[in-house]
Amino acid sequence: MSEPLLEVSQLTLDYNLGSRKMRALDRVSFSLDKGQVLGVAGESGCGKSTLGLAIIRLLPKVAEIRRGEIVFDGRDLLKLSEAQMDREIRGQKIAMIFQNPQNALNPVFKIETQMIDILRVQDKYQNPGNRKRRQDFRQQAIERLKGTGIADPAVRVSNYPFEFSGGMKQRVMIGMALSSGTSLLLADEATTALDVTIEAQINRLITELAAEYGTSILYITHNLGVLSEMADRIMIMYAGRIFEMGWTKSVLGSPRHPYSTALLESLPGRQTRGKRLLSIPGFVPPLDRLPGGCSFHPRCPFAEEVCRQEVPPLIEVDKGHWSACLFDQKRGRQKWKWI
Amino acid sequence: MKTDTINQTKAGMKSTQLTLKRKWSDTLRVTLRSVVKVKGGLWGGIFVGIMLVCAIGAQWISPSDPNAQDIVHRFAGPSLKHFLGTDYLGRDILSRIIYGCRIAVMVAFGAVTLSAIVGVFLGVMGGYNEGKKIDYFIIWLFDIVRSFPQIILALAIVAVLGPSLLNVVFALAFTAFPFYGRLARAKTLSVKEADYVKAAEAMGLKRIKIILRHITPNILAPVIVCLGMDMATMIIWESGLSFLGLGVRPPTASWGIMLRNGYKYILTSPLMILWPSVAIAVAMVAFSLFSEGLRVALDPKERER
Amino acid sequence: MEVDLIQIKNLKTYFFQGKGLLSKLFGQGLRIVHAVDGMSLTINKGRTFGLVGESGCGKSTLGNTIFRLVEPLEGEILFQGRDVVKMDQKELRKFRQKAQIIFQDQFGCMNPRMTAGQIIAEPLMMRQGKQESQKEIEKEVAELLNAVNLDPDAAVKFPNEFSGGQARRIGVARAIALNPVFIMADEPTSGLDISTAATILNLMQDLQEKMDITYLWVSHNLNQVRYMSDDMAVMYLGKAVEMGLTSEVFDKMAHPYTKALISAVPQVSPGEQKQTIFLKGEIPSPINPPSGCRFRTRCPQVFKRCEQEEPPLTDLGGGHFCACHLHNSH
Repeated sequence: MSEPLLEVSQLTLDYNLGSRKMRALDRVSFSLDKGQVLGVAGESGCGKSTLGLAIIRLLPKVAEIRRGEIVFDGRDLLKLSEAQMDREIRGQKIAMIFQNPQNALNPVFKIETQMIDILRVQDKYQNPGNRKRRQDFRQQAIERLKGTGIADPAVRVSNYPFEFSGGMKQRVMIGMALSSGTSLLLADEATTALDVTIEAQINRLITELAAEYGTSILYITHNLGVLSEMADRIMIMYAGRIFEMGWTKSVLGSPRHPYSTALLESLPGRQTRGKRLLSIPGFVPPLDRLPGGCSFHPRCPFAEEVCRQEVPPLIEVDKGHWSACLFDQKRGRQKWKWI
Repeated sequence: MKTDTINQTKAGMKSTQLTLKRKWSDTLRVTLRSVVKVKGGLWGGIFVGIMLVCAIGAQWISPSDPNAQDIVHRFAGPSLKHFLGTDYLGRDILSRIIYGCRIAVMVAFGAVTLSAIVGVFLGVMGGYNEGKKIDYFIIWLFDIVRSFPQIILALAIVAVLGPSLLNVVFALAFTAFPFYGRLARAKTLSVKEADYVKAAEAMGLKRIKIILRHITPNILAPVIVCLGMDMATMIIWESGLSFLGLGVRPPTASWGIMLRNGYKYILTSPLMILWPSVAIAVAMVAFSLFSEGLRVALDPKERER
Repeated sequence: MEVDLIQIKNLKTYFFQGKGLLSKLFGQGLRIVHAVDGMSLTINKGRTFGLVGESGCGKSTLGNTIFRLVEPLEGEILFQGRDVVKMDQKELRKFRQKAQIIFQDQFGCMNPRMTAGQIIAEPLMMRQGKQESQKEIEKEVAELLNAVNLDPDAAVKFPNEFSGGQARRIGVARAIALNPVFIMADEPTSGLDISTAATILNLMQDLQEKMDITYLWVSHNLNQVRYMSDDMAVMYLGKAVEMGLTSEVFDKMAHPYTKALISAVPQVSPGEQKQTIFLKGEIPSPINPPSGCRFRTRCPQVFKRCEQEEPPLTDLGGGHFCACHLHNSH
């Protein structure tokens, strides 16, 4: 069961914006097993979206990968050519869905036209020999829509995107992205724009389809609640680094990093009315002016001299639970407590 | 909390020096700096600057009196005394170009400003009262004026009012204001739906203040860009009208009049027509480049790039 | 002793689409969007009233109608006993100074060409009966900035120079400038990060305590409403389906929609198995709401009567109201 599908090691990435150099990812290493759901959480600017884009290699031009490798199915994705990426990886083995399905669908074409285009490309690489007819692809599109739970797929397939609600558009995107050949799904804030009842539906759909196809998921979101329900493992990022990683139950149940603890404590829902929420002092630092040492130290009440000097390594503190906090590693969990 | 106390002490120290506005000069400097950063914006800016200097300081800059005739040295080529030569009455062409610049800038600036003020006023009124009778009336007015070909309308107005500097300005402004009006109205329609306008309404701000403080400043950017581009067009039209004898009166130096005088001698002394043409072309390009720079500078999204 | 600050009675706000010539010619006819369709509620002084519902349920329209940014079709909005709907321009202006809005889009609600200082000073300058010098206003702006934990140098910055959380604070500073008694907060933490949102929630609670402000808290975030509000109403397609004390609604939820909504909220509860109720389909269009009970097209417990008869909002005891035939015995 625990066969790694994706192994990212020491991935370091810069955005070169004129004179400014922003380190968006800093020595990010993790692995994702087959059929597993890994949740990536963090506040805006922590590099979680960059990570997704780096894996599928859809980074903007200003991004530059400094070092590291992304081994997917035994091959380093960073060494493949663009043509190979298109032929074998993007939309084939790795699919990605985004926050705004309305931007991903062209408003002037029918749903079927757009789906058939995608299916044709997928088919061209999967079965190069035989040519299918448009009618076959249309049938396939209808089946995909049916699989995503859209009512009346035979009729809806010839609608235009504006006739679909946000939730249905996201279903279409999932139907287009996921096929039986997909082994990794990257979901970047896929349900953030949706209402809660629709969000629950979509998340269930993603989980069910992934289970059916044996697809692993890298689920990127800022919503820890969603991860608590969906993810097998969780990774918490801050300013381009992984701060904590481990099984969902242990990361959310007994976090070992002050930052993840603070994040959980600042969520309303755990607290009762009238009690103050924990608020972390200060701001997320801009990526071109990261503090030295542990990048969280200016906001951390437990920071000591050593935190300003050394970058804390990601160390296994418990079985399958990794954390990058020097204070915790040196003094132990009992020594620090928020509020 | 620590940060709170820090903030409080800071507030205590600085509250006496607090100001609400940024200095005008700062804003202007920032805008001009970003105009210059745009490709060509620098050259546009330099030539627009030269033109403005020529227009304001014509009497000090020009080497000789633009109307002083020197019949002996008619049709002279470039020399040390007359850098660009002389015309059919022996007048110094360089001086006439510099004085012509004054007319060109006056007409262009006057016509553009007048039409923009009238157009923006009507456009904002119409846009803010969308769907009401006054809006329909304003649209109707714009459409009537726009249904005439612009140059013909300008010619007709000058022909009726008689050729003079002021009438040229008025005629050109009259033909152009519906364009500003349309632009201002369209922009007003989108700006008035913005949350900050709603916020001002919810605060109980009076309508006139909402229009003046919240709507007008936010529709001006495209208007100012248009203004820059129209300056170029207006310079052409002023020359055109003067060329046809409907602009400013001779002997006033104007590029159009210089063309009109020069084209009779185009075969014998082509320099007489070349220089004003060059001046017009340079002015056109300069204003176009400058307004392109302005467009980028006034768009906060573009500026950040 | 609680005092009613705002009482809304049978408020209806409809939008009319297709009034134009083209839609008349091409036969679509007039379409009526039933955005708010007969809402009645009472907001008590010094408390927070949470209004929850999914997008398109009319919660924002209801808020805008209270401020008459949208004109209601019928109904009453009593603010301290006076009907806002019948106020003339002058009275309305006075009312709007006592009641303020914190807008959802923290950047969009600020004029991009005004500095933060000017934005905050604007309400101060229109106070009636007082002519203040520039100096006094500047001092007040500094105090307001301090009250929302911003540096005084923020006053000369333009909105696009702020982060999301800072921009939100400026919106709060502007709202509290005139010592309002009532503030409508429309999704006040949308677009903010977790820790920033927590800071804003703390700030708004502190202000409520210090200045005795009543909040109308419009949000789709149920966790937040549970945390912030004393009373709440759940809206669905322009109508309240359940209303009461927040603790009552969460502990004794009665309406099937409330149950589904609350069960769908993702909770950080590692290890616990949560029973999520999945609703069928999507929210119907408010142009043609379903007959009878509006929720019947998605309700897991629908029965025949729901189609024919609209369930009234009935008291289940202790001011806990619910509009469902399951809880309406006769």
